[in-house]
Amino acid sequence: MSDKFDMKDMVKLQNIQIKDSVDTWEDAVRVSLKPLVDGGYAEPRYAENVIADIKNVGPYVVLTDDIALIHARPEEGAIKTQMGLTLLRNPVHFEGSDSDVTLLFALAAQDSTSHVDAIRVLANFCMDELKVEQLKSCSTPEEIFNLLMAESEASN
Amino acid sequence: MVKIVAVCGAGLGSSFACQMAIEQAMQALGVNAKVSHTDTSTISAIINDADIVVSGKNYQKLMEKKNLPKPVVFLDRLVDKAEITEKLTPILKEMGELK
Repeated sequence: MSDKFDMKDMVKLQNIQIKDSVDTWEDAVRVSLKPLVDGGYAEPRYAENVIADIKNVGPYVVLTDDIALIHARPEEGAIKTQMGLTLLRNPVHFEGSDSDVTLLFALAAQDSTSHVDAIRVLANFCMDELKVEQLKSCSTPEEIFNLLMAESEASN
Repeated sequence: MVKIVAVCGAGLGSSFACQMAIEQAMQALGVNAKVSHTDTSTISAIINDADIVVSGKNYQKLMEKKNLPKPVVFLDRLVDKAEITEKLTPILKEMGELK
């Protein structure tokens, strides 16, 4: 892990949101990326490219039963490396997948290396059911933010 | 040592998270593995340097068209250690990497 990595640079509090539900998986993609678009980390076309990619190759964003990593290649509209997280109270189903997703991690990666430490933290979360349940039971974005930061400290 | 490559479309997000899950699964099995990740368009070029390929089920058709000369495993959940362990164990046994 690089010395310079700071989860706070990678995930801003304003990128974390809790939503009751979304209508479709396409909406889930747009909603989860909206904070990154609003913050200037991704172009609006990035979300549409993710949707097109999923339609082309299947639900590649779904990582586990609960978690999706909404992302595409840097050249598809990512501007600056940043992550976001959307917690859905009601899960969304991605066509062609067996999973009902409640946690949507959004990733804009400016290149193929700058986000690896954040993925490391994310993967550690995915592999720990207890932590996933903790994330899902959060009631405010601040709580989620603090959990992510604590996990990052622990794996540093 | 066994060389395992995780493959996804972009080769930067899903495959890297998958790589981490494979590393942890191999560690738990006590298998000496070197795990890396790449994208679906690069895998053919580096296949000689891989023993096992791991990818998502959604890439199955795309990957099978490549006729890779190495065993390829497709996962429902890319970051599921139990599924990785279950699907890699028979291959590792056949290769003699696992008793």
